[in-house]
Amino acid sequence: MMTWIIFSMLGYLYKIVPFLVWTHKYSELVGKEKVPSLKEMMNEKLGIVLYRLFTISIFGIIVSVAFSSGLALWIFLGIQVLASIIFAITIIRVLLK
Amino acid sequence: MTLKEQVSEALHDVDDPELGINIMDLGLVYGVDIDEENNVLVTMTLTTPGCPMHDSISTGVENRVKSIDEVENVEVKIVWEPQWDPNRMSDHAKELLW
Repeated sequence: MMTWIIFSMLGYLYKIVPFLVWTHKYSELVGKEKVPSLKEMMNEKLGIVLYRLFTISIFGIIVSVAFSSGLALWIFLGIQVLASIIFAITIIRVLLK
Repeated sequence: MTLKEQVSEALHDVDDPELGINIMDLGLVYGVDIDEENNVLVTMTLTTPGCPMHDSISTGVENRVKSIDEVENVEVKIVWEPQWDPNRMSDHAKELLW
């Protein structure tokens, strides 16, 4: 349940942050000068990669705990941390565009 | 080139921000009317009534048309009938989207 909620929040964040930044920075400039499209604000392909990494890491963590594998747990936690850092950097880069 | 043709050509510079395709190729513009005093009325629709880019697109149309020297005033009228559907898109827009 929590996993589903977190994925929903991450998905909405990936969609709404570029929209809000675009509206704030560019909405008044449409028709006056060339402005980026919403798709250009975020890397959609990277988003797909990140969600796959999150999915793999969550299932990996569950399996690691089930089989009491410390090494596997560290690996999948590492993947999740890495994906989280990349996700955060991606969002911050949109804010700075 | 007549003023109406200039306006129609200028509207090719206004993109739908979500789709990245201009509103003319999308088939959103239903009509361009110009009176004797060069006041322009652009009648158009949006892809969906709930379009979050409603204001951005109509402001964009105003800005772009106002930039034409001969144009006096611009009014953008958003209508919902007839309803937009993808068949109104140009072949070029269809190629870009599908």
